[in-house]
Amino acid sequence: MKSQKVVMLFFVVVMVTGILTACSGGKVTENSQSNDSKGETKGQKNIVRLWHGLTEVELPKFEEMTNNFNEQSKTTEVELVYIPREELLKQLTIGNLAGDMADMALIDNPDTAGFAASGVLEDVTELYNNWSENQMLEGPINSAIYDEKIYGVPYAYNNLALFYDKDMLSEAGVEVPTTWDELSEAAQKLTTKEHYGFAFCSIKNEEGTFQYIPFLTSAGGSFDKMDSTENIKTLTFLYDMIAKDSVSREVISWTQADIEKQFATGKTAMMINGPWNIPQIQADAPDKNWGVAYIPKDKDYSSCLGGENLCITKGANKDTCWEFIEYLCGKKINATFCKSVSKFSPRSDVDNEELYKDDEILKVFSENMENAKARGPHPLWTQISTDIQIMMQEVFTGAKTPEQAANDAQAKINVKLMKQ
Amino acid sequence: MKGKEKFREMLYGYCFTLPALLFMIGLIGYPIIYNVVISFQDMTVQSFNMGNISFAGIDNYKQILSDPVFGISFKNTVLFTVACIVIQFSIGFALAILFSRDFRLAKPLRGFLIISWMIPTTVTALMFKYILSADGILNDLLLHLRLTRGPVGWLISEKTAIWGTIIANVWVGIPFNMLLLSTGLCNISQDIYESASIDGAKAFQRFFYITLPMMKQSILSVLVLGVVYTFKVFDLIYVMTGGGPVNATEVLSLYSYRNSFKYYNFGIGAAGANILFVCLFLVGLIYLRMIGKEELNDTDKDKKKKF
Repeated sequence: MKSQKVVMLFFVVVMVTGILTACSGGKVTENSQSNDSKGETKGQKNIVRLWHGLTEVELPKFEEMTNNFNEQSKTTEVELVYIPREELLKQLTIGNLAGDMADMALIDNPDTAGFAASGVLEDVTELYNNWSENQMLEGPINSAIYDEKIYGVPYAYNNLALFYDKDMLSEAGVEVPTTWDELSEAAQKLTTKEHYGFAFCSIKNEEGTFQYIPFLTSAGGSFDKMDSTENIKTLTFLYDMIAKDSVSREVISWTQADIEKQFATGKTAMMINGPWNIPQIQADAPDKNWGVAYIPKDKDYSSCLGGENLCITKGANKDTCWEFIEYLCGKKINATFCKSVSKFSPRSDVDNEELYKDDEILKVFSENMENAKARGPHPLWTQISTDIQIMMQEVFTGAKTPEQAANDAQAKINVKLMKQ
Repeated sequence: MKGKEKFREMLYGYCFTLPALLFMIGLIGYPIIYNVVISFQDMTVQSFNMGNISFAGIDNYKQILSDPVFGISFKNTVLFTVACIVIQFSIGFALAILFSRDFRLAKPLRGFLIISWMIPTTVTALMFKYILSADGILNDLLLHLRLTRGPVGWLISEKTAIWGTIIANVWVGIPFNMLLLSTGLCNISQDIYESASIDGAKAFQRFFYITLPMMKQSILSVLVLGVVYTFKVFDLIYVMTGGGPVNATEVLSLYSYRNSFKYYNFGIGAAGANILFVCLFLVGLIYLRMIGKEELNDTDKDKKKKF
């Protein structure tokens, strides 16, 4: 009787605990139903399923471009499948385990090396080298290289810059800051009862790291040397602005989208953000008088490279997929496509500055491309990135001194650097 | 002949339970066992794709137990559970007693209270994130009442963040406790109270000597359900703080999730989930023990009555 009850209880607890264990198991069975996506054909054409995390601004343009491709191609039909950005990496892994995989995927540039190392991507080195139009900028293509092999091709890139409210600046009599000292001074002067002077994102996810890299690299630091004086200097500089209340303490919980809202509603005079926010700011605050500039520098101007690589997943028909890569990343389409989504071409033969010479805002971003640094690349980037986020949060909440936090982060990162 | 009949009856019985049994084995038993197997393997997305998953013995558990973040998340989970249960149980019980009184607004008010339990957790989480933010309504209220000098960063300070999540969870937990305890209260016959009153029992005596002992069963089940539900909290904290700031609100389920689906270290993630499971299983065993004793006592009494 009693043992029966124990067994019953076991099942009850199992049912209620379900979330983690059953979740991972359940998804696998769920996905395996729609197996055998590979090698599907529709009429005469091979179907290529492309997983992406694109939203509002870029998606309609991307669909339009895909339709154009499908019309002109006699052999290949690309189907777009939306997977939320945060879920994309997870689904790729689960999909891989369950055998239900996309043929291609748009993978965030710092994650590409990790996925290549995981063996979910096809090596496209040969195809890339034999391609006559393989003139790519070094930063973007490097992000797709792991172990000296190429696992993807960059198609559109962006970076971060400083957004500022022109009216607030002129009201406070402040010039657009170009150095750290000027930034710190401007942020203080621009802070009033109604609004903060400056905002950047240091949330505990990849966005936080993305916004930290420009400051770190401007001081001459790098992700694998967290205990360096350059990194400690960067942490101290940013924390000082928070301690002086020129920057809200809430930045540790704000996403980049939250920061855009703060800026659009006039709650901060300056912010760090990317060009994908431009349409949103225009929609939220059409009358706002604002501009963009390089992120103020310590030693050199710097920014962080954002954007996805177009990758072929393991087991897909490489030649079929490559046709789409050649189309999107090639000379003919790439520049105009990038312009239509306010991004920048990773091609070295496209003159971004010429392309955007009439747009005051995008011109700054396009010129800023040459300052943009890639994250990593490192196969364990997600974990290293988490260590960086923890370090920032420890300092910005006042839990640890910059030196302490930096040394602790380095100790954790060392373990990961040694693994590879 | 009689034995044969009994056997047939038994066979029928087992046949009827077979579908449920298959369902449980396939959809619940298998993932659990698979999870245990994974936790003893060096299973990452790399090793899986390369096909070189090796047996790791207790390495995953060793690694977890030496990870300071695991210690923090375990501590946080226990604190979160104990605080939530104590607060929501006391308030829920008080409300249940209040609404067991027959006054005009009792029923509609009780209905309103249940709303907070019906709202999806993510919505609750976002709502409390806004309420508790530095320029949120709570700080606004405190500032206007001049109770604080400046805005308090409830969710962005390491000291208060966990309490912010506890408050949100308690808000959901109170109606749940109230509802279950109300039904328990309804089952106590009014006659007992009446006769106790006649014998001169005071209110607190009626509560401690009649209400509490008579409700032991429902109290125990409320507590066990509450502990299981609270111990495995995930969505609320994931949305409200994501485990931050730093690791101030990191809990076991988040820790396990992070390892499985962010770092793709399935072995470690599974080990974390199993530790969570074992903790809950122990809670269940204790519950069973207590219920078991109670039932034994009852059957003893029944036997005595019969003779």
